[in-house]
Amino acid sequence: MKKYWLFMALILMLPTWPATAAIPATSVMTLYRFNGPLEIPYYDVESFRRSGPSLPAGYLTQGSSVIPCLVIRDGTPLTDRNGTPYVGFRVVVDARTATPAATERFEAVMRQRQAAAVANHHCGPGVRHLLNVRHLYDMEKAPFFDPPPPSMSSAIHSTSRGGLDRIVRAFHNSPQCQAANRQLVGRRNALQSAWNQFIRSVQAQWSEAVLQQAKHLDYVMRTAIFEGHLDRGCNAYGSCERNIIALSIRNRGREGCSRHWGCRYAGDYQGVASQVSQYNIWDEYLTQVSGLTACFLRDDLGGPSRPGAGYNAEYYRRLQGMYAQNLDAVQRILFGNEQDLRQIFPNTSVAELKSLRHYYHAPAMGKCFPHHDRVEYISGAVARQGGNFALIANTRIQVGQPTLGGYYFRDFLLRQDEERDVTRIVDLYPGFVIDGRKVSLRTASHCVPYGIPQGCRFNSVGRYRKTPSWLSAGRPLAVSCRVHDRGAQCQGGGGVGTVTVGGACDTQMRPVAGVR
Amino acid sequence: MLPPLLLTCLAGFLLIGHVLWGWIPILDSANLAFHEAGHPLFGLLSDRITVYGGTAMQLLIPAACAWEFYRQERRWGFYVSLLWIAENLLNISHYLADARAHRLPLVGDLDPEFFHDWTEILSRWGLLNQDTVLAWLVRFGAVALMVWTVKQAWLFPTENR
Repeated sequence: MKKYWLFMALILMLPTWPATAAIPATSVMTLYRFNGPLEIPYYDVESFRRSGPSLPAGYLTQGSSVIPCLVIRDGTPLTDRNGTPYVGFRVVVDARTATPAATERFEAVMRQRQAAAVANHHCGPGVRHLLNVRHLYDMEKAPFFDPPPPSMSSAIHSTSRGGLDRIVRAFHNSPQCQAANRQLVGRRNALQSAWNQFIRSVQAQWSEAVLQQAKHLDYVMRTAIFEGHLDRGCNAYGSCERNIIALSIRNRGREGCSRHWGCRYAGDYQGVASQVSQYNIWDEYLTQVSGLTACFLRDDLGGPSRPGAGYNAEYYRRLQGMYAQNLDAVQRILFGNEQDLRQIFPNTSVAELKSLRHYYHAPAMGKCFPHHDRVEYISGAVARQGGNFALIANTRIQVGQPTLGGYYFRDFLLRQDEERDVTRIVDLYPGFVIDGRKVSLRTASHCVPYGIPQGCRFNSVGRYRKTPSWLSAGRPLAVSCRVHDRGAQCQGGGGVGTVTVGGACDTQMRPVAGVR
Repeated sequence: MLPPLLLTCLAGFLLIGHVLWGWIPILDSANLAFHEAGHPLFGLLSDRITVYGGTAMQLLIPAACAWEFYRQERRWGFYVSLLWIAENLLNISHYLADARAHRLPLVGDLDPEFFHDWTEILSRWGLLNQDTVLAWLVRFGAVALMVWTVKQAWLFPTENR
C-alpha cells in the first residue's frame, strides 16, 4: 500500500503540460546558390565527423526547402573548423520531384514553424545527413505553379491585338508552354525548348521570322515585367520602368552585340533578356518561385477573382494588365526605329537612349545600417546557452557584450517599406551567446543614402545601400515616358501623361548610360 | 450489477474525457511517464527502435497488467486493464494525428519536427500524409475494444474466483 501511494504521488508530480519554450524554432530554409550548380551536396554525419565535408552522401536540388537543426555529438554541434555549422535537416519540398501540392505544403509548414517555440535547435536521433548552412536561405516564397488549364485551345484569342501579340498569346495557351512549367527545376531551359517546339508546330501558320520575333517579344516582356517592381502594377512609373528595361535589352542586343551580355547574334533579345548574370530573375531558384516562365497570358486566367478558384487570379490579372499596357511600346522599342524611341521617351536624346544598358534598383541592393552600431549579417553560426544550442542563420544581429567564447546578441529585424527600411531590435534568444569566430564587427563600405553616390540631399533618409562599382562609371539618366497611368491595380482608365524615372536623385530606379 | 455498471461508467468517462479534453488527468500523466521511460529502455536494444519505445511501453504496461489479471483469473482487473489499453490507444491516436500539425507541445520543449515520435515513424514508413487516417483507425480500435470489454462485463458479470 505504501508503495502504491508513493507511485501515485510520483504520478501527480509529473507535469501534464511541459514548461514554456524559450526560442523560435528554426524556420523553413531554401537551398540557393545564385547562378550556381543545380545540385548541392550533403554529407553523412559519421563520415563528416571523420573527414569533414569531403565525400558527399548525395545531392539536393536548388530550390528544395528543408528544416535545419543542429546535430549534437560529444556535447557540441557539428561545424567545420571555422565554426560554420553543418546542419541536419528534414526535407519539406524536394524541388526535383515537387508537384503543385508542394506550394500548399511549403506554406503550411512555414506557418507552423513561425508559430513554434522550442528549447533548442537540436536534431532528433533520426537525422543522418548534413548540409552546409551557407547554402540555406530564409526564403518566404513558395514554389510557383500555374493552375491546371481547363482544356487546351488553339483558337484565336479574344484579347489579342493581332500580329506578334496573337502568337505570344497562342504560345501561352499552348501545351508546350504548360509542359515547360510542369516541373520546378530547369524552367529557363524548358521555356526555350517549349518555344522551339511551339514554333515547329505552327510553322504552317506564320513565317519563321515572325515567330522568332514573337519569341523575342515574349522574353523581353517577361523580363521587363519581373525585373520591374510588381507592386507598382500599371501605374505610370511602373510602366515607364518596364519600357526602360526593354530599352536596356534592345541596346544590348542591337547596339553592339556582346556574348558577355548573352547576345549571340544581332537582335538576339531572347539571349540578352534571359542572361542570368545580367537579369538575375532568370536564376534557377527565382524561376521556381516567381512565375517568370509561367503561361500567365492564358485565356482562362486573370478573370475576376473567384473564391475557391485555387489560384491567385488577382496576380494573373495584374500580370496580364502590365503586359497589355506595355505591349505596343515594347514592340516599337525592340523592332522600331529612332522615331519610335523619340516618341516613347521624349526629352532624352536618342544617342543617350541608345547607350543605356544598365539600371540600378537601389532598394534591392546590399543593405547597410550606418546608424546602428555593431549590426552584423550572420550567414550561419551556433549560439549557446548552457547545454542548449541554437542555429543563427541568414539573419542580422546586433552584437552585444563579449563573454567567454563569443558575444551576447539580439536580433536585428528588418522590414522593407516602400520608402524606408523599418528596423527592430528584439531579444529572441535571451541568454544565448553567439560563436565569436563568426562575428567580425566590420563596417560596411560604400554605404550611402538610398544607394545614391553623390549630388542629392535628403531631409530624412529612409534607407542606406551599398553601390556597385559600375554605377559611377556611367551617366545617370532621367528618362521620361509618355504612358497611360492605369494605377497599381491595373484597373484605372488610363489617362496619358509623362513620368520621369531616374536622374541623380531617384530613390527607386536609376538608369545609367555609357557604362562599358 | 454494480461492477458492470461501474465499468461502463469508467469507459464512458474515459471516452468523454478524451472528446472534451484530449487528456485524462493522472491516468495520462502515468501513461506519459511510461511512454518517456520506454524510449531509453528500448534504446538499450537499438538506436533504431528508440522512437518506437514510447508507444510500445505505454501499451506494454497495461497489457502486462491485463495478462497478470487474466492469469490470476481476476475478471474485473482484467477488464479494467483492457479499458486502460483502450484509453492508451485513444491517447496514442491523439499524438498520431498530430504528426504533421505539431500542435501538441513535447516534453522538454523539444522541436516537434525532429522529436515528434509519429513524425519520425510515419516519415520512415512513408505514411506521413496518412496520419489522420491512421489516427482514426487507432481511435476506432480503441472504441471497439472498450465496447467489447463492456459487453463482456455485462455478459459475464460473475467473478471466477
